[in-house]
Amino acid sequence: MRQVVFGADELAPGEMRAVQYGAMSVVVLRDRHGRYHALRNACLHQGAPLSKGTLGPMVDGSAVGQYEPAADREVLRCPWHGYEFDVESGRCPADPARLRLRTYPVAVEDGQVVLGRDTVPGGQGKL
Amino acid sequence: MSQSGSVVGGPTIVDADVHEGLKSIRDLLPHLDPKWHNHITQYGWQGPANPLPYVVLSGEDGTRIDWMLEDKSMRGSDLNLMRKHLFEGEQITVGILNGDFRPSTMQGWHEFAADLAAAYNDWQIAVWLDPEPRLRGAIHVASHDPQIAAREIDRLGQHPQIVQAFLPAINDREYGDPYYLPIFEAAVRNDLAVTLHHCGHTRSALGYPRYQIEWHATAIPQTMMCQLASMICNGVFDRFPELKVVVLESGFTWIPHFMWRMDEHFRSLRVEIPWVKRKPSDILRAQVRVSTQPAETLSKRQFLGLLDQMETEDMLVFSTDYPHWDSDSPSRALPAGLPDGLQQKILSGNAVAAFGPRLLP
Repeated sequence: MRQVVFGADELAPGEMRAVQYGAMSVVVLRDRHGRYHALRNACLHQGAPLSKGTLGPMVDGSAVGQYEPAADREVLRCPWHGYEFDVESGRCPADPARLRLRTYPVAVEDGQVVLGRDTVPGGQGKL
Repeated sequence: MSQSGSVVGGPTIVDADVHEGLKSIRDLLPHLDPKWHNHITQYGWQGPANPLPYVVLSGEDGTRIDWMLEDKSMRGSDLNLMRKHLFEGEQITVGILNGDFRPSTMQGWHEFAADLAAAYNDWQIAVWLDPEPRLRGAIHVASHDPQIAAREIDRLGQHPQIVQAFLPAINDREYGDPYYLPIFEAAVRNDLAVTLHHCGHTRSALGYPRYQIEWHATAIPQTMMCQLASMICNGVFDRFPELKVVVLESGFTWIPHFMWRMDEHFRSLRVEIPWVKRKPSDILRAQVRVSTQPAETLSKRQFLGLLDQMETEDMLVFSTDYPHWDSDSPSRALPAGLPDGLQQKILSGNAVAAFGPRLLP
C-alpha cells in the first residue's frame, strides 16, 4: 500500500512523526544525514509510542570507559524503558537476534514522503 | 572402568570443589621465603584472620562429622583419608582442589600475602598433586597486586595438574575492574579457568547477618551475582572470549533470575556499557560455569524446568565441597531419572569443557 504521508520539507533531520498507515501507527523519521526511515510505532517491550522517544547516534565502545557515537548507525530510543532500535534494520542492539522491530519502505517522491512497498528503501525515492 | 574409576575416553565424575587444608601454618615453612619464617616461628602469625562469627552443625572447623579425622585435626588435611572418602566412598574420578587458605583476604602486608600464596601453591603441589594423579589444583594469588598475581600464574600455569587460577569472592573487590585484568590475561595465556569461591570475608548485602542460615543462603549467591555483573559490565568476557569463569558453592537456582534481570537491564541501559557486545545471558551461557553444591532440592520436573529457563545444559558442573558439613554426594544431589546424557554432562562433560584437557586422567 502506497501512502503519501507529508511534505518532504515538513521534517528536519533529527525529527520524527507518527503517522497512521492502514491499521498501524508508524513512526517516520529523518536521521542526522537527512535520510528517511519508517518503523512500527510501538516498542517491542511494552508497546510504548516510539515517536515520543529520542533519536540519535548509536553509542559504541571499543574498550571500557570509551563512548564512541557510531558514524553510520542511528537508534530510536523508547521513551519508557530506553530500549533502542536501529532505524535502518529495526534490530535492538542489545539483543539483535531476538528483537527486531518491523520497518517500512519510505521514500521522497515529487516533494512528498511516501510510505509503501513500491518505494525505494533508503529514502532516496524515485526522484 | 579402569583402576581409577574412570570410563575409557573421559572421567565419569569430576568434583569441581574439593578442599584440602593445612594442619598448621607451619606446613608452609619449607616452601616459604626464609625472610618470613620469624613471623610464624617467633612472632606468632597464625594465618589470615577469618571474621566469620558462625559455627553450626559441623565437626571441627566445618568438617562433616563422619569425615572427621580420627585425631580430630583439621579438615581435609590427610590425603589417605581424602582418597578413602572421596575417591572410594563417592567414586569421584577427578577432584579439583580449592584449598581453604586465602591470602587475598589480607587487608595489608601484600608482599607477605603474595609469598604466602606462592608457598601454599608449592605445598599444594608437593603434598597433594605430586602423590595423587586424580587431583587437580589451583593457583592461589594475592589479588591486591595483579602484576605479582599474574607472575605467580605464569610461574605455575603450565603444570600438568593445574587447571585454574583461584579468586576468593570478597565484597570490597570488584574483579571486573580493569585493575585486575593482568590476572585474567595470565589465566587465559596459560589456558586456565578462573574460579570464584566465597570465604569468611564474603558478606551479604547486610554484612554479617545475625544467623548463619541468613549468611549462607544469601551472601554467597549475592556476591557471585555481583562479581559476575562486574565482569560482564566491565567487558572482561568480551575482552577474553576464550575465558571460562567457574563459580563454586553458590547453588544454581539463582541463574535464571540473574540472566533475566541482567538482560532486561541491558536492553534498557546498554548505552552505559557499549563495550559489552553480547547480552549478559549469552555471555553467561558461553563463558560461565556454576557448581551444583549446595544443591537446592528440586524434583526432576523442577530441575528440567530450571535448565529450560537457563536455555542451556552446559552451565552446571558437579561438586561435593569435600569435606565440609554440607557436602553433596554425586549419587544423591541431582534428581533421580535425569536423561543419561544430561547427567553425564553435569557430572563430567561440562567440567571437561570448562577446565580443558588437563582435567582428563
